[in-house]
Amino acid sequence: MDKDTIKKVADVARLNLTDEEISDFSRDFDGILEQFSELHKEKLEEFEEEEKSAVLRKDESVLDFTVSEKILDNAPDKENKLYKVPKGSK
Amino acid sequence: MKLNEKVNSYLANISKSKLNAFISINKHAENDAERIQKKIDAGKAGRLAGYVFSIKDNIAVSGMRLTCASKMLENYISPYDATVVKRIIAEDGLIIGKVNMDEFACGASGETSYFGPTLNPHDTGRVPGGSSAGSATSVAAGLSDVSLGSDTGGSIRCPASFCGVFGFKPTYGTVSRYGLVDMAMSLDQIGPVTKNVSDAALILSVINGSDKMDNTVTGTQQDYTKFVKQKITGVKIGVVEEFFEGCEHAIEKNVRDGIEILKNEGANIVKVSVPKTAIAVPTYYLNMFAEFSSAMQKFDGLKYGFRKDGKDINDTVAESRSALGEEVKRRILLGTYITMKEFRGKWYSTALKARETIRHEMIQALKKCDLLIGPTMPFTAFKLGEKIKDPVEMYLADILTVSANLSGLPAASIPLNVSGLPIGMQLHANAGEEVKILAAAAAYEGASK
Repeated sequence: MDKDTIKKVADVARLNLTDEEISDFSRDFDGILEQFSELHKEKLEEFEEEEKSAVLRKDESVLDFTVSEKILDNAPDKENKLYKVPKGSK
Repeated sequence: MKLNEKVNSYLANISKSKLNAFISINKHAENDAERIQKKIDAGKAGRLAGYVFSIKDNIAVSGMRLTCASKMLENYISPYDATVVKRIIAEDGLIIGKVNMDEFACGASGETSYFGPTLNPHDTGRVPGGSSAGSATSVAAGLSDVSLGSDTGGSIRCPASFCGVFGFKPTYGTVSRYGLVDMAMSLDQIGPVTKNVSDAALILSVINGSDKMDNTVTGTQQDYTKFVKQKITGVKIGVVEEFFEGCEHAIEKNVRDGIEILKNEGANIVKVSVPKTAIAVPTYYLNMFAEFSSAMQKFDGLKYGFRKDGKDINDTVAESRSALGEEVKRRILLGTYITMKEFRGKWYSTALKARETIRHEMIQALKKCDLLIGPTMPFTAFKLGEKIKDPVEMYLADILTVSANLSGLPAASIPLNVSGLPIGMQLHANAGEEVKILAAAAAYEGASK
C-alpha cells in the first residue's frame, strides 16, 4: 500500500500520522494484506438465508438514563450541561 | 480465613508483585470485605461470597477507572456498573481491582498496554498471552481467586493457556455485554478465568441470562453448577486433525495424552475435519478490523478521554487520537481501508462470506460429535518482545481460537497437568451447550490430579 493511500485512509479514520508511522504502516500493510489474500484462493460457498448467523433482537424500549451527570464528569471540557468543543472548519 | 484477612493478604501480594497485572485497585476493598464477612457470619451471604475477583479493565465498575490499558482513557471513571459486575456484586463477589490487558484488547501477548506489559508468572521473561493478560496472570499468580475477561478472538483462552488456568468463552448472546467496551460487537463475549472448572460454572451461572441492556442475550438465566459432576460416558468427542497442524511437538503430545484421559473417563473419541481452519486468521482479522475501526470512532477527545487541541474540531479529533497506540492505529487503518467503497468488495465482503463458510464447517463437524477438541494455542508462552515487531506472526497465534468467535460457539481452555510451561487443551461445543464443555473439563480435571 503506497504512502498516498495510507494518508487518504488516515484522513478518513481521523488519525494524524507522523512520516515515520506512514512508512512503517506502508511496509506492514503489504505484508498483512499479502498474507490475508489467501482468502481469495478459497472457494467460498453461498448459504441459504436460514443457515446464516443472525443476531436476534427483541423489541427494544426506551429506559431512563440516570447517570448523565457522571458521564459529563468525564468530559475534557464542558459548560453547564453541555460538551464544549473547538469550532468547526470553515 | 476471614474475608478481610484474605483481601489484606491479596492487597499486600499485589503491591509486592512485579508482574504488572493490575492497573487499578478498589480502594473500598477492605470495607467491602468487612461488609460481606458480616453477611457470611449472619448466614445471609450470596453465592459468590468469599470470592475475590479481578476484572479486565475494559469492563465497567462504577466509580473506578476504565482505561482499556490506553492513554486515551487513562483518567476515565466508569459512571455505572457493567451488567456482569452488577450481578457479581449482588451475589456478594468482591472486586479487588482492574487488571491489565492489551490496549483496547488489541494483542495476543499482553504487551501492547500503555501501562507496560504484564509478565507470565511461570517465567517472567515470557508473555502471559492476551488480551486478558492480567486476568490470567492474577489468577495464576494468586493475586485474585478468579477473574472476568473478554474474548473476541481468543482473548480469554490464549492467556488461560499460557498461564495454566481455566478460561471459558460462552456462546455469543449468553452473557450481557452492557458495560464492556466493545472491540468487535458481533464477536465479543465476557467469560470467567478461574483455577478450576466448578468456579467457572458458578460464575457463569451468576452472569448469564437475559438483560434489558443487551438485546443479543436471549435466554433466561441457567444454573451450570450441577453439570460439573456429570459423567461423560458415551460423550462423543471429535479430534480436529487440522488443529494440530503446525503445533509444537510438546503441545501435540500433551493434548493427545489429555484426550486419552477423557477416553478413559468413558468418552467416545472420533476424528473430524475442519479444513477451513487454514483461512480462520484472515477471516477473523478482516471481520474484526472492520467492526473495530467503527467501534473506535467514539474516541474523539470531545466527550471523554484524552484531548489535544488542534486548529479546528476535525484536527482536534485527529490530534486527540494520537493517544492511541501503534497496534490500535494499525487496526483502525486496516478496518477503514477494507470497508472503503473502492476496496470493500475485495476484502470485507469476502471476509463476511468466509465467516459463514467457517461457521458452517464448525456446525457440520459438531453434527458428528458433542465436542470438538484440540490445543488452545499452537505453542507455549513465547518470550517478551519475540513477536511484537511482526504483526503477521502475532496474528497467526490466534489460528486455533478465532473459529469459536466467528461461529458464535462456546469454547474453553483447560490447563493440562504438565511440568514446565503451561499448555491448554481446547473444547468447543454447539451453541448453548456449555454444560458439555464444563462436564468434560471437570472430568479431565478430576482424572488428571
